[in-house]
Amino acid sequence: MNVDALIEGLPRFVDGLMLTVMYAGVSLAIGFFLAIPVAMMRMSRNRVIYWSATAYITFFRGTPLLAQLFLVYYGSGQFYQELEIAGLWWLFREPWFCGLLTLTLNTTAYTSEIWRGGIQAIPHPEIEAAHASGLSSFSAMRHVILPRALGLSLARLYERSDLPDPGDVLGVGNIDHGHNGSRTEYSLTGFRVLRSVPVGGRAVSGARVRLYMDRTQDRSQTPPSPSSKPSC
Amino acid sequence: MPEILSGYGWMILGGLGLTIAVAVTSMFGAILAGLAASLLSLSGSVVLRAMVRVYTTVIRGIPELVLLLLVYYGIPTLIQDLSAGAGFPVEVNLNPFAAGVTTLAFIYGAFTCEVFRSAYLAVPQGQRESAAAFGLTPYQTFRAIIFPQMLRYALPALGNVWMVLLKATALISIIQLPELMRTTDMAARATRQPFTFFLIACVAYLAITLVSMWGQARAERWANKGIARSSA
Repeated sequence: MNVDALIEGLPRFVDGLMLTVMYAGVSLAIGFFLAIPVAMMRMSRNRVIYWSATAYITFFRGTPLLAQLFLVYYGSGQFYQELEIAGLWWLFREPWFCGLLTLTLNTTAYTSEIWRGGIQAIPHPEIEAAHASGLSSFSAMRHVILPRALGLSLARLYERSDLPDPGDVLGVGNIDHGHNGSRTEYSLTGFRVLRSVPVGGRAVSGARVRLYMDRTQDRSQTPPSPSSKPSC
Repeated sequence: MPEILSGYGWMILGGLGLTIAVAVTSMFGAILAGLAASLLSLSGSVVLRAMVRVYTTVIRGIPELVLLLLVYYGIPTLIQDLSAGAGFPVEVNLNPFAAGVTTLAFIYGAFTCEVFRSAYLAVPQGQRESAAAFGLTPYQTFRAIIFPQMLRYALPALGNVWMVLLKATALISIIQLPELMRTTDMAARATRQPFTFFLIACVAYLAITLVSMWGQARAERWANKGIARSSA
């Protein structure tokens, strides 16, 4: 193994590591909150709302993240003129924006199903009791339903942090460089940057979540954590 | 073939076929690897159990893309370096199909291993005892008593693994295998219509996913026949 190359690449490795953590963190954080209204739309009785949420979730859970990234990043180029007129091209031109947008949309779709599972697992009398105590729909949501749903789905939300592979995003930016230069550049940076990151990151976030779970809730309420990656 | 495909229809259809071939072969390999690993992890040997634990933990902490690149670019380089060092320089080129399928089977074997392990443990101990009392050999017990019951517990999670694996095959496009993602990528570049072609790719993946969901529901109904349900 070429040790010099590794040392030389170290600053880029660190840059890449920060980028990975940033992409994963930001998209998960936005997705966590954005998923709540999507989950409610998915439970709506209004057919238009229900089907639009269902179509969104099915699309993002049913297609590969790589295909979604290519669709947004390269695909937006096909609408260059329209985007220019709308004043959005300066955003869609940037790999970081397309990456973050796609990752967020992707993780929101998965997380909203987890939220929905949590909300639907709440025993119905608890929600009725909240309304009977005179809480408005918003207060009931804010103070009763969502905290309860969070407790019920926490184990699965943690597993969710496995899924958005920022590795794919690094691919987008770097494959683009590959067009004018070498594809190997991509393989080298991608590989070095990604190799050790997720293991450490997951261990840390896992420990955090476990701590929170121990603190906030009765263990018996935790649904058994599925051993496989959650998916469709 | 419709006009919108600008003559790339057959190529993309071929890519779709290759994607399905890769996914099915990898899934088959993953099931075999998972079954073997789960049997090892249930064996009495502490060493074997620890080995399986390391395998599942490490694999689940590494993004597929990284392992794919490591196998496809890393292993030939390693062999070439070693052989050059030993004085017999050889040129090694891995077949992308074989490298991709092996890597995916190896990765998703770690997931199916957990699935089979928990399914095996979910079959009540009394079943094994009564099989032994009837004089069945361990092989007969597994084949006729345990395995059919395991299937019932394992199918939902196996379906999940299949969906995730299917989407992970898109990553094989990175190692030049002309599957769905790669063929649409080539068509998108040649025609300068990336949005159209990547959308077609997404729809194709979505179609496989929807067919799989239907198939999974049928398979679960088949595996559950003869089981009393408390409510519909």
